[in-house]
Amino acid sequence: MSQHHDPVHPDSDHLTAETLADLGLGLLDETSAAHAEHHLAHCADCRALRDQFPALADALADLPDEPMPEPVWQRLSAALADEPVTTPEGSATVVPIEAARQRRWRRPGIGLVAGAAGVALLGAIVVPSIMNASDDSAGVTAASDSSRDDQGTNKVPMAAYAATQSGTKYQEAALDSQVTQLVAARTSVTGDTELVTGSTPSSSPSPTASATSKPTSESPSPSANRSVAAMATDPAAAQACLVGYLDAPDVQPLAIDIGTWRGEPAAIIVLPNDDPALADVFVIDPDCAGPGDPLFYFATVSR
Amino acid sequence: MTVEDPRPDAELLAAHISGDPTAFTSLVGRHRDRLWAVALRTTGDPEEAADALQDALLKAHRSADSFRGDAQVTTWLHRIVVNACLDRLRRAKSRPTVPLPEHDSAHPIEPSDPLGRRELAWEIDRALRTLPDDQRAALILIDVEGYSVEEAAALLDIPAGTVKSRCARARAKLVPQLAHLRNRSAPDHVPVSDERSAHPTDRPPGAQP
Repeated sequence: MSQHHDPVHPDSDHLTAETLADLGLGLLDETSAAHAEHHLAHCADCRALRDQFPALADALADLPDEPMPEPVWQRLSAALADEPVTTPEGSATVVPIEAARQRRWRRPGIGLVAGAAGVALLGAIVVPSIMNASDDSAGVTAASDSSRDDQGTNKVPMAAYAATQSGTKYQEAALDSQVTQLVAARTSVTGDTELVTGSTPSSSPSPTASATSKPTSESPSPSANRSVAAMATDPAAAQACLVGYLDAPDVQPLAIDIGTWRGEPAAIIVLPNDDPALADVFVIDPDCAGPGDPLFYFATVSR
Repeated sequence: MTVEDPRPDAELLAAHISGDPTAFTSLVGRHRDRLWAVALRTTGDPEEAADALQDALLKAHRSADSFRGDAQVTTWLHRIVVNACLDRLRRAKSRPTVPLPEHDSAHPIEPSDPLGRRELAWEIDRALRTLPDDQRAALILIDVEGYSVEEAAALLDIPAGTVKSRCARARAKLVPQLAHLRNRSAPDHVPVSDERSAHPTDRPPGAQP
């Protein structure tokens, strides 16, 4: 293998350029390498050929960068300028995941509004411990705040929606329009309509009772596993995620949908932004827990 | 011309992800000659190179948050550019055969260049275009761009051994073509392509690879 009739050295069994290249990269087996080294020790011609490899490497490493022609740069920058990722209005505005975490609703302590039904739901997922000690004192205020104006009926805000399971392939580039469509299709459940599905609490929760109960967010029980499947099929699990992870029990989601994100199953949770023209989109692991951060992606889009 | 943005690469990318509308263009503008060189050498064709770069940069622009921070930003960009080039080459292969044009206009010969560096680059680029695409891509990453075998393997998403063997094949093809460059004295040496056509194979029939 290491010896060939070489056109460079037509009159003897010299090493080929292939063999020398393989030798240089350590690709020859031991026997062939030893044979080649032995031949090199005795053959000036083959040494000369071998020495051309470092010379080639030098020449290649020395190749200058090619200046990009100005028309090419103009074309590329124009194409980039047309990309809709970051504009003040209209398109999805991407923020780092870290910032998205801080965007989670921080109405402290209201995770406990739901009463018995809510507690059961919370027990179904593993909730990251996002409630710190200071939440307790603020909880009373926030909880009573949640009983304001529109909460007079027996409608429980956190249950007033259902997750759809469209299987949509959500993508950054199309998120804006995908969410707009999703929300448009879901307008019937964002208003004061009756509950579509999900966990309807058997009785109206008492704000006072909820304010005194502790968020039962810790329950790494076997039920946690159950929620993996549940999130995709049971809106209650999506809701529990909203309560437990996003800490937004009193926020009416504009829509919740189960689709995919980068090939993985994902829950898309659309919540209203402070700016009524915008919506906050959370792309989240459908089991709402996972080994890492369950939040895949966050963006603010126009409605 | 672009105004140089003083922020480091990683900061520019983070700014882009946070919504800075000019950060990505600043980032690309800073590395545009390098990226152009890689695209041009990998595709061997300015049109293909420009198309591949556009594919790559739009993809990078959209998926910037997929950058994990465990690599250099330039490595991440290179990976996307090289793969876009290889994608285009594969697609070009599936189209009806169009001979790879010689684009000498992209490499103007400057005989007056005292160091002969431009001329040498021109010779090498011509020789590079004679290589199979996969071999050329591996060689460019290792020998031109200076990536390690492991880095190139990760970049191309192929085993390190495959990178090495492609690189070896490519070097073995280039050495006979470029040997004359080392000790040429006459400026009117035989063009590389003519020399190559006189020796369609480096081995006689029957020789093992």
